[in-house]
Amino acid sequence: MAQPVSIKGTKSGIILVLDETIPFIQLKDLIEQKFTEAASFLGNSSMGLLIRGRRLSEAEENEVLDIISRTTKLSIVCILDEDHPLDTAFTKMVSEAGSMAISSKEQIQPQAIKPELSHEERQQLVDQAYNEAYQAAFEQIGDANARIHVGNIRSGQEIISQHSIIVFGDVNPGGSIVSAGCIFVFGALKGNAFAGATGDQNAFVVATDFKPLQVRIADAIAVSEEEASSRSKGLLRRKQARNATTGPEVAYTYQGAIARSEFNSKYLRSNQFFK
Amino acid sequence: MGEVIVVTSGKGGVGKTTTTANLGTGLSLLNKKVVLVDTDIGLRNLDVVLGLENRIVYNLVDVVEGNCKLAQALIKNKDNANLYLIAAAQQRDKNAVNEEQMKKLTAELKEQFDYVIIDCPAGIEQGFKNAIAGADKAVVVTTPEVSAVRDADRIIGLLEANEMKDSQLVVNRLRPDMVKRGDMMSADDVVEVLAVNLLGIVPDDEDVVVATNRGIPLAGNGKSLAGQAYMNICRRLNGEQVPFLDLDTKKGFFSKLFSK
Repeated sequence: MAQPVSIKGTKSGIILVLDETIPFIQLKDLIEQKFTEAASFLGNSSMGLLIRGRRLSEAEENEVLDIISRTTKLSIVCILDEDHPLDTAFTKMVSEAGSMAISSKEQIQPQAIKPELSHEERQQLVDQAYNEAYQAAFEQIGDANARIHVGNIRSGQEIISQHSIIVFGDVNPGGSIVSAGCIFVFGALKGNAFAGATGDQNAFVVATDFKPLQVRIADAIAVSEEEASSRSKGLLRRKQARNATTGPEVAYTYQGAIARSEFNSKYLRSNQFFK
Repeated sequence: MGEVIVVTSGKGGVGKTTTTANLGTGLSLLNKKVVLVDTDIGLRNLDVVLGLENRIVYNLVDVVEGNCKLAQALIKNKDNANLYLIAAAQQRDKNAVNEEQMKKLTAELKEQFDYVIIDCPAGIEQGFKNAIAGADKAVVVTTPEVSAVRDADRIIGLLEANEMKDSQLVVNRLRPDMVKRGDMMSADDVVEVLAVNLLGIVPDDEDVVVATNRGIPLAGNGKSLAGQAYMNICRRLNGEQVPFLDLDTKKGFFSKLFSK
């Protein structure tokens, strides 16, 4: 590593790369120096912080946060761990239970867990791993908080939130929902939806009646597929669409583009959801 | 104490003014005292549709600016003593009036009339804001075309933002034959998109054009399907339960010949 401290900016967060070999006391001064230099460039937005290259204790993390708040106008919303919590949970499960990576509870066989553990201990271990996995999935959805909107979003109306958005009602053409997290529509999505607006590619859009004009997730954008023939037929288009798929559908990013599939247990168990 | 109803649509040319004129005529035939207010300043034509153009002396802007008394600006309808009109000014623009003035005016009119019906201009600018300022409820007019429905959706959203939650919908110029062929949205389709209560369906009818040109609104004219439809809308506004017209009774060739 050329420099013991370096800062990289991404859309929604900054990555702080630290050298492992230098004592933290020395590193602190370098961090302070670095952020002072970069203060004007970083601006005053709300961001997440990712620390890479070195594991910090809680006290050290707090010191870093303190430095950032002193030297820049940034507000750090959260500290992200380099290791994805989901991965950690699974790794733990794998190493401790000695079984393969598992994504469904039924597949966990208590027999596979080390025999020297008592039944209670085993159960506890499995539960703990699961709680962590679900917690991670929960965090992945954006935030523990969501904005809930009851009622229709009509043409010209827009809901913007840094949290995930849940709509009980229709989103009509010309209406729009923008969320830094995920979007859930219990009703017909016929307008525009923009999930992961701050760059989160893991964000997704779910609607019970999925007929959006446009879906955007992070940098990807998809326009409703409409055959020219159905447009000329006018209203029949609606009836055709009704025959096509009836259940809820989900849009997510896959290899940088937006994919769409039925929202069912198959999707929930797939890697797309637990990625 | 009367009720202030704004007739609005967002898109132009869907039949706001025609609907306003017919609501006024119909309600006055039900023995209600009605005043129509044209807020389309600069592009007025409610007076023309009612055949009252020649009687305008004072207008809406004169009233709010205090150039005349309210009673002086009330134009009595030709054949119906229960129906009055406050015409818009033609020489001014929408900014000649503001929301506070409209609220004051409608409050004053409410004291004297059973219904105050406001004809809203197209668009969502000052004219629209003025028209809805003093309104208790809204009648949204749309035609069964996606463009009109899209604008109606926007308007309903704006009305909701202004605390008018129960807008009622009039689907104008419906052609049952086209609906049957699947070339036009049905009233149900429109209602499904807009999610508001349906107040009435008015069929596309040549008589409407004739009536507009003559300056005699159709409401109450039993011979015309559109006239019946408008009358039913008035009854529903007045709290009666009226079933929707069967617009599908398309006259056969022979009955058409003999009825004329």
